[in-house]
Amino acid sequence: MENIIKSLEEKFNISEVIKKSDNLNILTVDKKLAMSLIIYLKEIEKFSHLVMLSAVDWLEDGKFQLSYILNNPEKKIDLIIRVFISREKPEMESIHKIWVHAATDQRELKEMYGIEFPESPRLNDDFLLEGWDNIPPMRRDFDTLKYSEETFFPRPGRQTYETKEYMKEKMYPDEKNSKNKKGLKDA
Amino acid sequence: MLKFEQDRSKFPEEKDGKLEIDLDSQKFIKIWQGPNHPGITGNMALELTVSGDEVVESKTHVGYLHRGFEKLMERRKFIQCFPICIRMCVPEPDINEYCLAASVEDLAGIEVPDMAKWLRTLVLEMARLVILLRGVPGQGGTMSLGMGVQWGVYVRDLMIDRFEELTGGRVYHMYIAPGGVRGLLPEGFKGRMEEVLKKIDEFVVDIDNLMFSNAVFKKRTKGIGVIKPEWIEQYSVVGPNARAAGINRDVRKDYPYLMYDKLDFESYVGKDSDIYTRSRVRWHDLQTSVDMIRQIMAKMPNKGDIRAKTPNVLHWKIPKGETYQRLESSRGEYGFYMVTDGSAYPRRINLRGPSYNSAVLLLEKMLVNANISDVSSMMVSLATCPPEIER
Amino acid sequence: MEISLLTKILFSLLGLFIVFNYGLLQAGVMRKIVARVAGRYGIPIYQPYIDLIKNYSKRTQITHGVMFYLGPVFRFSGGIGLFFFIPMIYGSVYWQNFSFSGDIILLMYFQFFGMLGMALGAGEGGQPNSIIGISRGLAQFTAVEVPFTLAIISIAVQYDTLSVYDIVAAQQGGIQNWTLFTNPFAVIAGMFAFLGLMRHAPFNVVMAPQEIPIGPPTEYHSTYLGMLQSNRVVLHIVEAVLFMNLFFGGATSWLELIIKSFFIYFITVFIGVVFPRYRVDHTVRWFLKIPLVFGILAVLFV
Repeated sequence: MENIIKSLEEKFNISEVIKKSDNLNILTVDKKLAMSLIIYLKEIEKFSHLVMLSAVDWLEDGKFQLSYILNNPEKKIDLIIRVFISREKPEMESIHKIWVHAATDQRELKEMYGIEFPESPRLNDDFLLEGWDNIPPMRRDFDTLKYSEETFFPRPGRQTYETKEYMKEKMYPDEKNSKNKKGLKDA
Repeated sequence: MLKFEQDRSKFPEEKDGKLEIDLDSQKFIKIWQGPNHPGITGNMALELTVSGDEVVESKTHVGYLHRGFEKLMERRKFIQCFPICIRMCVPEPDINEYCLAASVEDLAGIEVPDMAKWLRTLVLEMARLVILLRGVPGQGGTMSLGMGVQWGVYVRDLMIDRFEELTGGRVYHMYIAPGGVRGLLPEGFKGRMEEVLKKIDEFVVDIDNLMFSNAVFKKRTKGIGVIKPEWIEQYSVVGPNARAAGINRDVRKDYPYLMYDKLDFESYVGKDSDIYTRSRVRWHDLQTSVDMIRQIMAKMPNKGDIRAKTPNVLHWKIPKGETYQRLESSRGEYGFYMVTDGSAYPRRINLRGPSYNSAVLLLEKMLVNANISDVSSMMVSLATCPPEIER
Repeated sequence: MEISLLTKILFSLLGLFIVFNYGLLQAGVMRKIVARVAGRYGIPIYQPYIDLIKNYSKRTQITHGVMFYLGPVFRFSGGIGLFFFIPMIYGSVYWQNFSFSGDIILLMYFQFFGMLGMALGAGEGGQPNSIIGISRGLAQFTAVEVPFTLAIISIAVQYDTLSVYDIVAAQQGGIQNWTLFTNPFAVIAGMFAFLGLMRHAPFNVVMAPQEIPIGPPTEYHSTYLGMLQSNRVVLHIVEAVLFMNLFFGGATSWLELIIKSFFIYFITVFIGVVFPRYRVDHTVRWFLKIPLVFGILAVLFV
């Protein structure tokens, strides 16, 4: 495993290597060389099983991180390839010609994060959400509380009450903020 | 001799690898094998374009079970994520608990004691039995062989009673916690478990006589629903589906976790990958699980520490890192990818189940030129489970 | 002894009432037997009565046109018509219904009549699934008719008559005179056809719930579903009685009729419980293989 990583470091300009265990390593590579690294790993080093394609949102750095998790079934080793892309215009090359099933992952990432994969089949079809008209929901600046308050309009019976205040008003309506109650504090 | 020429004028022609389907030409009908349907496992819609009795094109629509778990888990502390993640794969819930606990322990550097590892293995195998006891005769259930399903559900109920004794819950257990498990085996558990295992042995023989020796079942399943060898790499087929095609993929043997390296078992590998072989692989899995539970109960120590010391779970900050933990569910390789950033909340938890590939794209490829009657059998034979596609 | 037309009509209606009740009870008993095999307790025996009362007491709100609702009417009239032309009890002049010489051809026509009526009606619902279901049923029925017709031709040639009454008369005088023992090939071909007519597994592809759950059972609601259900009950008994008259010696009393038709119907359930269903093309091919051979042998060796 170390030999493979040493040869990769030279060829593909890998910026960071983290070793988690004997069979799991995490590599960070630049966006321009990511596609060729993946093709090299699949064809030459026989990492023929793509486990998943996932994304993480680093809002404070202004970047998305794409994680390609590859697996070599013969030698039983894993590699996680991290690619950082910009958050303003997120775009990455599609790998659906290498693994057909990556098209589903890419469809989901487009819907949930807004990352474009040009030429991926059926990219703009709704995958999980139908008729969604807001920003992609898995981003960290999407506020779920604000969205639900705006979308599901307030109806009578849809308020939340502060329980102690509500019961006090109901049961003792004449006494408002009276100071001569011993031992009772206003909530 | 008469040579029978089939009339293919009603079927669409292929142009550049895509089929030309003209819906106005009155040759095709669109049928939805929709979300509420006795022939679908869970809630998922198949949009089929049909010409006569033969499917020409199919599309899978998911999204009826999207509960937004991954977004929810980003706003909850690690211990609050456990009751959420357990509901991601409904029929076999313990695998989610184990994956999350293993990721958290890996990132925080906690070592689990031995007794807890034995108990975790026992619970995972019991969960595998619970889903297989309904899944193996379920293949006959798609063709209205209801007897097997009724017998299987009865035996499954006895196994669920054992779960209730051990953990307190019938379907959702919450037994595996970060650091270990929640409790020891109750008094007399081993004796009652052995009775249930004897009933499962009888059930296995009954199912063999009812389903696998049945002439009509063989006619309906042999040679149908074949996964071609070149699809296995393109579509990343794992688990029993790959084993039925001749490729031995079993996470318990390839990447041993918990106590599987101390147990003695063999995975069954088939040859022709049609529906009959996949059912047969699962039937062998059932017997392997029963055998493993007997070995676990014989080799397990009688007492020991069941939980390692963790910091206060309400204020637990895990150092920054990422990890991927996998295990073998009854459907294939199941894994969690977890990213933390040093705070008390996880940054990203992503689950990948085997149905993500097999129910969406592989099924669409397999259904081309299939009969309408076989759509339901093919889907059940791939063991698709919609909750884990959409989380 | 000649009896007046009015008495004949009254006795036929009384016979229909008896057969209807017996059919409902028999349906309940069969379902209970199937449930016991599966390890459950099963429904109470009078459950079909409750279902019928519930269905008949509902009303409908929407309409699909007149032809849609004439479908179940055709089917039910096919079933009742089949009943009226079969002699029930041999030796009693009161229970002959309206049988006459040459009535076998009419019986075979009436079996098909109900099916065609349903085909015309169900297609009006506008749901493509029901069309698929009905076309499968018609294809299966066409294949089932082949060994059935050959068996009937063979029996007609053997007994030299086309009237059911005379066939029953020729089988009296002890068990060894039954067609079962004098012409076994025809009986075997006929019983294969019986399996296909009763729509149990392995030939129940018309009402397959795992494939096309939307079809006549879902589209027809309330009273029309009750009509389809009653027709199913009457048709099962009447088919069993027809086969009893042709192959198993007829009945000389109501008790013998009940016992014989129960066991003949039980054969279907006995086989259907442990088999899954065939696809439509499998069914058609199956009926054109072994049962056809038996039918041809029956005609040749008579």
